[in-house]
Amino acid sequence: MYRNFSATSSTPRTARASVLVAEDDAVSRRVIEATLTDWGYRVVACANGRDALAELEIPEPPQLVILDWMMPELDGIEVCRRIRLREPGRTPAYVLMLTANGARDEVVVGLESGADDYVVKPFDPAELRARLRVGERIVRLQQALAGRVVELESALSRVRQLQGLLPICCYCKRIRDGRDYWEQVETYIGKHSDARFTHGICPDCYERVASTELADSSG
Amino acid sequence: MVGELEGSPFVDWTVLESLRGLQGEGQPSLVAELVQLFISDTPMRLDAIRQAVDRRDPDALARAAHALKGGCATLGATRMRDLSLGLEQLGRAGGTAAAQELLVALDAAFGVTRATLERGDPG
Repeated sequence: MYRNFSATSSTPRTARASVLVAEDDAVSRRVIEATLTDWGYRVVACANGRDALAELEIPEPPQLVILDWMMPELDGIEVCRRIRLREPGRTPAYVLMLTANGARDEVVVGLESGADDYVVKPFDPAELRARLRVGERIVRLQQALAGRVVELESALSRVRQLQGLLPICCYCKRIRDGRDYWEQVETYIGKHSDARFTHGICPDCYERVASTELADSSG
Repeated sequence: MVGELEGSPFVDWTVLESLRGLQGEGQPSLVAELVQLFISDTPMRLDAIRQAVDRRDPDALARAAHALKGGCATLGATRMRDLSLGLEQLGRAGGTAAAQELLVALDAAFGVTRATLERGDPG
């Protein structure tokens, strides 16, 4: 059943996401750390739940989190709950729970506490890697979506919409604003949109106005 | 129960071999580091189990035995893993009475496992 660690070392070592690992057993923690490092992840390893929560308070904390279920003080379930409680307004972390072999009820409790997925211990490297990749995909999607929302919100705040009926003078083409002032078309549109004007003369007007004026001034 | 467990090997070298694959080139031996971690951590874990048995506290026994089991499984200390699992199951079942016998076997297994690990892979 054990676990082809070495097949993984063919992975190209591109810079991957950082992963927070909380595992109280020193041997298992070191193995997870070495495994993830081998796959190109940056690893932040903690020996208990309290330290794990503290690591998530730093600016730009790891978005991928692996929590051991059974830890002294704060177990994985409690850490997961607290992560979710603090999450509104932040990019949610992707949480993988490590559970004991064959504990189906643990799986249910783990997922209900807010974990996104679980891996059974002792973990199968190929499975852990596949599940971490799912996590990375979800985190990237969330970040892309959050980025789009920010872009759209800032675009919306910039756009002052031009819509509805504009009262315009038939002769001088000035537009009446909300406070009963008559403004030049370009002034009005400039105020109510991001459009800018560059002035020129069209061929008709050139004939009608400009050439006459030029003739007058030269004559 | 103890009788059944006597068949499992103290150290499963295939596990250690697969861990060797994680070692980066030119890096200090990861396996040696793991063995040292295991040897330095285990007495503390055994103490926690002993205290739980002395206090007749099945919950603490289950927790302490579970904690030891994880490291044993990771490092391929199969006999100790099975004995810890036995103690964990006793604790979960709410008893500590039969734990003494398993604990003695676990203590002895640690001695052999430690010596075997320190001697290194026979293959």
